[in-house]
This record gives sequence, structure tokens and C-alpha cells, in this order.
Amino acid sequence: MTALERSRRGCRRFGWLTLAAWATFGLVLESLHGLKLAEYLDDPLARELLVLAHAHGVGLALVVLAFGEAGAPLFSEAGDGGTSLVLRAGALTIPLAFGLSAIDHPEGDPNALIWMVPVGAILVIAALARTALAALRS
Amino acid sequence: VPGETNEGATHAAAAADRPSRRRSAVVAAAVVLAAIGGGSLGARGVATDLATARDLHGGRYVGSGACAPCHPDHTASWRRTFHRTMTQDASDARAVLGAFDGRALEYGGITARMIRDGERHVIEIDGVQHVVDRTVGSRRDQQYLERRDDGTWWRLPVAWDVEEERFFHMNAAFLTPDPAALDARRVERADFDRHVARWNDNCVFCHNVAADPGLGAGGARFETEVAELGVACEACHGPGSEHVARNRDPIRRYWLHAGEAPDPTIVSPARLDPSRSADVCGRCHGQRITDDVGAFLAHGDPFVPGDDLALYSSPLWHDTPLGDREGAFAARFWADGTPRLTAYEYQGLLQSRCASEASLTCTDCHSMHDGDPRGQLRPARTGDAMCAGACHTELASEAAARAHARHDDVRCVDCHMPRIVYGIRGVHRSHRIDVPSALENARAGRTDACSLCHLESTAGDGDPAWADALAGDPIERAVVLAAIGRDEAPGRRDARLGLLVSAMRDDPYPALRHIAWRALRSVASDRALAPSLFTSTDPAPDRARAIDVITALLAEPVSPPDPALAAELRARAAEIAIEIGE
Repeated sequence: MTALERSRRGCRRFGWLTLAAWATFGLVLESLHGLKLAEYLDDPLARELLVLAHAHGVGLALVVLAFGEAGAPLFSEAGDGGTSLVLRAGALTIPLAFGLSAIDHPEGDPNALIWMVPVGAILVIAALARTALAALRS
Repeated sequence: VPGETNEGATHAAAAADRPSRRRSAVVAAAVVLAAIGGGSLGARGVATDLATARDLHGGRYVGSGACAPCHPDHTASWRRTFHRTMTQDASDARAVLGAFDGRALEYGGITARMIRDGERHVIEIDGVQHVVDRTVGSRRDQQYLERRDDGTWWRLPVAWDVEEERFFHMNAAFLTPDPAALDARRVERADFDRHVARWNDNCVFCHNVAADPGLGAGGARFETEVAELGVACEACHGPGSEHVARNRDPIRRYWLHAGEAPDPTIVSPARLDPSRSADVCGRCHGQRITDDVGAFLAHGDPFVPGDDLALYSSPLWHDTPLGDREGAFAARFWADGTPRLTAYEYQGLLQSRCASEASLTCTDCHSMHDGDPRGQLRPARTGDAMCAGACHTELASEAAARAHARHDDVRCVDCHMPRIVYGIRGVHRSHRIDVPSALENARAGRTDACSLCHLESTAGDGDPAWADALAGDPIERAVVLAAIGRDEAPGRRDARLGLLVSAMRDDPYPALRHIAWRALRSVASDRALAPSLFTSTDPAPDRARAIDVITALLAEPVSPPDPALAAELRARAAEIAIEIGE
């Protein structure tokens, strides 16, 4: 199996798996709304963070899938220089950091895990920038 | 072999990809190191900032709206309180609790009519319209302020009783007797307006944030400003502009979240020592006097939470003179110096051994962000847990508490914080926490805790305690009348009703007649008597008619005291006017 094929397979596995997981998480959030669970509704900040986790999780899963189909082929057969891994790391870090930072957070702020969001964002942006460069070179 | 060729190509591709991956790793490591370096520099700056003490005097006030985004829970808990609604702009329709539906209130021949004029709330008196510009209060009563052309606000003579849902005349809130012409329905306008008071140099100080009356040179004109109407965040936490600005820095915020270090840009009363913490509350819950009234009226009270209150003003005491007037405030205290008006809770605390010997402070029992807004007691400190759960652990068990009290059914506060304090149309707990002693209290001329339940027992003067409902001074009468209405007061129901009816009919103070009426409704709570059946400011003939109706509705024996005894007791009553805070 070539590096390209490995990258595409990894992106498909990661993308579909996390898309399913974060979509299910969205269903859980809707259920919490539907059941009017006070612990969920009474904490607007936690609610916002969980919604952000769901939205970023779903969105980034689609980005990873798109990368696997349309981004990875832009790199040489030799591989993408870790771009796929960096993208997946970012796509995992951002929604998890949003979601976990809702737990036992101080008043008015998420907990300290929120600092992982910009780290994840840098990873995603770096991967996207490298893919854009690869597209320009192709 | 095709497989071998593919494998070889894969290995070659992987080898070619290695330098690229190394570059990625180096870039990632550089990003992480840069982030750590930047964070360290930021943290060092925050540590230095937090170690730098601040002088909050002169700080800019930003209003509760600036606090809410970062402190949503504290904002929400404060919004539930009556502090928030202490002063409100009447243009907000939710602020006005009174029913301005055209109903009228007559007092001594002068009629006030409460009406709406479009969006405006208007109190029309003798054909003159007074537009309500601001409201004061929202728990027990709501008073109304009119703005005049010269920039002053004046309290109008009619207020709204929140519980009874009806208007009342302000003369029924203060401890002054009826004007002479009340029964003839020819009250002078000056008597009708007896408690019309200017807001700019009275209420403004305690009912708002950072009030500056702005009295011009020579007392010419007020340019009054407040940072925020009502008692909001910065009243207790100090001016917040620097706090807001500094905490836009997320490193600073998370440094504070992670540690226990205080933020010097704001005051947390919970972190102050007990005396300074009590000063924050005492600024308003302890009437004070200053040597430099002119400066206060020109520029406002310089006190900022965290200050020593004594730097700017002194609490009023029994023997505090007013200029060359000795004993000007004596009537506001029992003879032993215990406060007997509300808004003197700070003085009561200072007199308590719990404070002087054990550092008790207001926030040990009260919380501005917890519990029932009525009283704002800490949920964990309600009932006897307030005392036995905190310091007096030896009384934590029910058996120990009973043995200590020698009663089965009393709470700590019943004996140690008795209801001997008059507030607007009500009687409240003393905040001087002390040990009840019937004899000592009698010698000091103070209604004692025991007598409030044992109304039949004789006090120091040889009379039964209930006699003070007729023979005492206005506050003694108020205290005993309220006690008669409570369940813990034993005694024949007909006699209790009789005493209350007697006070409703004959007491010269409308405030006390109202307290008697409330007590009667409490004794006869099984009859569900409507509050509007009796109006304490009505002329005597009207009151007599109302009492006839009430006694008919009671349909049970009502035994007023013997007329000769009642007359003798009333002759001994001290009819003094007691100033409250104006």
C-alpha cells in the first residue's frame, strides 16, 4: 500500500468514525434539550461549549474526509509529509477540548483544557496551508 | 514480481517522505516552544500585576452590565435580590409594582389618585399631577420619586404596600402621631406632605452605587449622579473598570482560576477581615454621621469597600450629639444603647460579643448571592445551624439545645436576637446578639426576649408585659403589639384580640395601628381577613366602623382591656416622635 493510500484510508476511517461519533453527540444534546435537563439548560457556557464541540467535531470530520479524497492526492506518491496526521490530530483536539472544557468550569470561563483549542486550530490550519500549497504546486 | 515491485516502491516513497515529516515535527516543536515561551512571559507579567496593591479610590465605575459576561452566576443571584431593585427607573414598566389604575387614597380630606398617563405613572394630589420618575424599594413597600425642574427628586407622600397590594400614606410608615385635624378630615397640606423628602441628599447614599449628590457651592443646586441605580455589584466590590480591563487577558484570568491569590483590582468582601467586611454592609445598614457633611453632599461618600468605615464617618449611638444637641438620637436606641430601629444592624453587631470576641461578621449569616432574597440568610445557616453549626458546637444536638434554652420549642434567635426593632410598619430582630436577662433589660428600659412570649409575666415596673402595648413609648408599643400577633405568644385569644382592637381604635400613631391590624390578622389567620378592611390612617369614626365590621367577621369573643385600666395605661404612654433617618 502506498503512502497516499495509507493516508486516504486513515482519513476515511478517522472521518467516518468521528463523524458518526460527533453526530451522535449532537443527538444527545438535542435529547438534553428535549428532556429539559436543568443541569444542561441552566449552564449556558457549558451548553455553548458542548454545542461548539459537536459543531467542530462534525465539521472537521467532513474536512478530514474531504482531505482524504481531494487533498491527499495533491501530494506526491511519497506521502504528504505528515499533513494527514497533523490534520487528524487537530480535528480530534479541537472538539475534545471544547467538550471537556465544559466540565467543572470556573464561572464565566471554560476550564483550562480550552487552551488546547488554539493548539488544535494551529494544527488544522497548518495542515490546510500545506494542502493549499500542494494544490498550488500540482 | 509485481508484489515485490510495489513493496519496493512503497519503501522508497516512505523514505522520501521522511525529511518532510521531520520538517513538520520541527515546525510543530517550534510552535509549541514559542507558545510556552510566550505563556511564560505573560505569566510572569500577571504574577507581578497580581502582587501589586491597588488604591481603588478614584476608580471608574462600570455598572453591573460589565460584570455579567464573566460572572453570570453571581449576576443572576444578585438580580434575584431586593438590593437590585432598591432604586429603579419608572420608565421600565416592570419596576412599578403599584396599581396605577385610577384608585384613590384619601388622607385627612386630601385625595391622591394613582393613574396612568400613557406610559407614565402619575400620582394626582389636589388636581396637581406628580409624575413618578423613579421607584424606591420592592420588598415590603415601594415608594415613588418625582423629578423636579431643578434637578432634585422628591419622595411622594403615597407608597405601595407590596404584601397587602394597596397604597398607603407615608405618615403611616413613620413614628409620628396623627395630625390634629385628621378626624375632621381637614389635614393641612404640610401634614399631608410631612414625609415628602428630598432624595438627592437622603436616600441617594445607600440605595445606589457611588452616589454623588453634587451639591453646588452655597447649596445652590444639586447635580446628583450615581454610578448605577439600586445596590449593584460595585456597591460591595468597589469600582470595576481596572478589573474589567485587566481580565480581558486570558492568562491573567486562568492564573486567578488556578490559584487562590486575590485580584487586587477588585474587592471581595469574603476575603476581607471581619471588621472590614462588616464595614461594607455597615455603610448602609448602620446609620452614620460625618464631621464633614458638606464634603459628602458636594462629592459623595469617599468610602470604598475595603476601607475602614471610621475614616469617613461614625456610627450613630445613643449618646451621639448632633452639633450642640445632646441626645439627638437617643430615642432611636433602648436605654442600654441597643438599637431599636432598622438600618442600625451594624451598631448591633459591634455591640455583640460574637463580633468583638469571636470575629462574627455579617457574611457569616447572610449572603448576597445565596438563599431566600427575603433576609438573604445563607442556606446552610438557617435555623439554629446559624449558631450551633458554626461556633456553639456544644449545642448542636437537640437535647443539648433544649437543656441550654430550658424550652422545647425556641430557636437561638428567639432569645438572643429578639424582635425589638422597628422598621417601616414592621418589627424585626435585633442584631445585638446578647444573653436575655429580664431584670437587666427592665432596668435598662428595654423590652426583653422573655416578655415577648410571656406577655402575662410582670416586668420590672410590676405591670404585665402586655401593658406596654398601651403604656409604652411608640417603639415599645410596636414591639409588644407585634408580639401579641405571633403564635408563640400564649394567653387567651379573646384578650389578645381585644388588646389589638384597642390599639387599632385608640393608638395615636397610625404606624402602630397598622401593626396592631397586621397582628390581629395573624391571630385570626383562620378568618382570612382582607387587609383592606382597615386603614390605619383613616379618621377615628371610620376606624371604629371598620372595627365593628371586623369584630362581626371574627364571630368570636373579643375582650378589650378594662376601659379604666386602658385609660390609665394610655396616660402613661410616652408620645414622642421618633425620627428614623431623614
